Amino acid sequence: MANGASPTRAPWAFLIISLIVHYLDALWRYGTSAGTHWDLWAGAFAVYFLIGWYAMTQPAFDHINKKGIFVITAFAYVWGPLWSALPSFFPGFSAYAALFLVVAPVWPAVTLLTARAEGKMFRFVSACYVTLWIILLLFSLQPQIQEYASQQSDILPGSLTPAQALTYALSSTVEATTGFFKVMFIQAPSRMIDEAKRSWAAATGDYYTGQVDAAAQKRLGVYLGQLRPSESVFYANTPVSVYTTITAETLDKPLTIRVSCDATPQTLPVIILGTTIDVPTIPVVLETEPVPATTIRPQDTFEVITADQFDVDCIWSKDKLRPAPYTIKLKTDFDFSTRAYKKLYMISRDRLREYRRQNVDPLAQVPDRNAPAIYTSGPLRVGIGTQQEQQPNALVQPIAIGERNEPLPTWGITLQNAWEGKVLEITDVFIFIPEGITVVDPEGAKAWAKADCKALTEEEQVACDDALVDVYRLTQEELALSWYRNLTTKTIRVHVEASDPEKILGRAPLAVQNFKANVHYRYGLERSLTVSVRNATTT
Amino acid sequence: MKKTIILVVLVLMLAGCRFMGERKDTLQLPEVNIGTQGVELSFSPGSPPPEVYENSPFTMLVTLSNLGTSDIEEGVYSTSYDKQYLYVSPQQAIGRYRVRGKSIFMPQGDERQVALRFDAKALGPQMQRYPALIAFNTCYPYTTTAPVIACIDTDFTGRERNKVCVPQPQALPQGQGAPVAVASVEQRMLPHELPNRVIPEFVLTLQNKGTGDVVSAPLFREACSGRPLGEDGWNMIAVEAMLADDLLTCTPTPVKLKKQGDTKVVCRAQDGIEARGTYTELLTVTLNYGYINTITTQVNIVKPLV
Repeated sequence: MANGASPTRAPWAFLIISLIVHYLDALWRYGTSAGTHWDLWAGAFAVYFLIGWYAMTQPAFDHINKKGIFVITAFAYVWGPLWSALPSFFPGFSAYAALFLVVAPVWPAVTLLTARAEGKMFRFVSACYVTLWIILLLFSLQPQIQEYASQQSDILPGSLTPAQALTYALSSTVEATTGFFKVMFIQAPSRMIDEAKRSWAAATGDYYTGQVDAAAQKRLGVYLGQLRPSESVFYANTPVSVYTTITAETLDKPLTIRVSCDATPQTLPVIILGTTIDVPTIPVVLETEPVPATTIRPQDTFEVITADQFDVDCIWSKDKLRPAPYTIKLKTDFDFSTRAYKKLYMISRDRLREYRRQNVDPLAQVPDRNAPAIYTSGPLRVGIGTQQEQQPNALVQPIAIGERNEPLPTWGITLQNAWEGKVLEITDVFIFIPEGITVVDPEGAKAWAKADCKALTEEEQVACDDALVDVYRLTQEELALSWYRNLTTKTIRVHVEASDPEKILGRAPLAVQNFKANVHYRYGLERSLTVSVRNATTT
Repeated sequence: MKKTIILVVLVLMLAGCRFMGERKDTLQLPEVNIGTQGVELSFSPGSPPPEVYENSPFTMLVTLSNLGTSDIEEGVYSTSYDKQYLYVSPQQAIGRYRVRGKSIFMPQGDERQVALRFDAKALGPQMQRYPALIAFNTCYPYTTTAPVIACIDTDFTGRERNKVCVPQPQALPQGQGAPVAVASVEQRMLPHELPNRVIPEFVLTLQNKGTGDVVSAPLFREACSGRPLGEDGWNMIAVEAMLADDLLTCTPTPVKLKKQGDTKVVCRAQDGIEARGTYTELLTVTLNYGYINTITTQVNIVKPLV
């Protein structure tokens, strides 16, 4: 058994041979049955017998007796068919069957985990293997991996070809790795930065909250479904097609949605990973320019009047994409608007003082005295509030109205991206101030310009009355600032004063007023997908 | 047979006597001078509707029920609402009313109904709902009249035997048919500088037992407007007390009602009364003030969704 070799020598040759045997077995025998492919099954039996015999010659396996080696050999022989059969009894395993088949071959696993061999390299490879296994197991628990697996409807136990299994493992690995890197190095830092910005703004009293209209029956905006490939494998001489479903809902105002698609060859590390596993079909492509889709069906611009749902196909004609893995992106952008309001209760300052002295609560019967700003459903969160609200136990409502031209608490409007897409551009911001209150620009900051209801869109004009509100518009100079591009969080401050207290208060003890804002913006949503385009097939 | 007939007649006569005895109940007059309510506000059922469509009218019916004993000759009301989302004509939003109080002829009190026709305005794009607040305020002058049987005991020496009454504090927990009530009366006799006279003194405890706020009677109209009333406009009550036909001197008057704790007013006959033993006498306390009540509701303006 010792065969004259050093008992501590690393069984590199055995490892490589057992790996080759495993993958060849997976390629040929996986998904077949012994009855129909008896030759394959008999051949595999002979090969695994040889592997077992070879193992017995390895000093690294001296600690395993012959019976043990026989059991491992038998297990290695049934490992592939086991993953064909197991999901039939345990459907939950179907998504991971191919993954386990590929990443956990029995003999290589036994070798790397149990072989008694010296040498730093062998221990390093063993450690890498264990790490890879743990990572893949963790990935397999991720919902996006499970979702990916469930989408591959053609990957079913018993119908899997070894090539499909390998492709699946490859795409799972690429997807998982890409997803992991995206989450770890792009999304998480981005969220952290956003959260840090928001926290900083809140800490400095520059963040005003709002609440989406909870009673709204309709979820307004544009929603993209998962982007899916029309085929599991694409070839260079066939069109490449991906599709998704766009759902859009709007009220009153028609919504125009623009769609674009492009395919970008993946960068080097991924290509190497791809080519390593799928060398015969995927050569290295170094171009990284995105290739726009040749056709977007049914069209690249949609107009939604109220609610609609449509399927969009992005197609690259044959030979448009060269053999390589591609990241395909479907982008939509649309003009949208969010309206927000904050209810205000106003009272004469002298009267409020009197109430407080008498320990009378003028809002005792008002059910929503401290209601936050409410904004309409959509991708932008619009919060409205006063600086006073930032203080703990602040008595914010009712707002005391004093003498003419006396400054009122400064208002803030916080715009915050609420969805996963991008606020590409803020195109217009209108605020509606109760009559009798005037916006002032201290120190000559001309952020707000007086406008009127006619400046609004036709749909908005029906809810605007110049006799009741003063309309102000954020100036184009202000909107041209970089803050309003790819916005995550931005607070716009509004300095106001009571120019006509009598108009504000009216003829009742309590004046019920409203501070409103309309924000118009262009929003972008994106879905991406990795596909592999292979060399043209002739069969 | 004769015996039987006589027996039956006797039984019937006896039964008749028993029924006659039951009918001796006299007609009881309703007790109207109790309670702690003034004008109570309520919305008529289904009014305003909890939900209305934008650009549509709706009616809000408010019932003003005078559940106290004081007649209101000139009550006023005003309405607070969100003008950006609701419209009601200014003539309807503010108004006056008269409503009689409880009496033995109308023990349940009178009521008035105010109908306000609102128009829900357009919500604007993307908005599906707006909860609009409507507050209805009523302000009125009111009077509390509290008759109290006081025990006047001018016998300091205690020589008199078999006194008709013993002076002791009286609690009046049921109220006097008005939101501000005399909660209790304590009495004592103070010596006068003249030997045959005593000074009766009454300590009145006043409380606002209603759900609204007390304002100074002359300023009740302003209370329903947005104007300030001034420091002395709130919780001021004018107090007057009569012992039989003698007007007592009350201090302080007007009195400022404390929000917490008891508000005490001392009323006494400064000139004193003649010491003539122990007897009961009618003490009538009258409180004059303005009162403000508010009722609120929320109407959800919704967009008819397809």
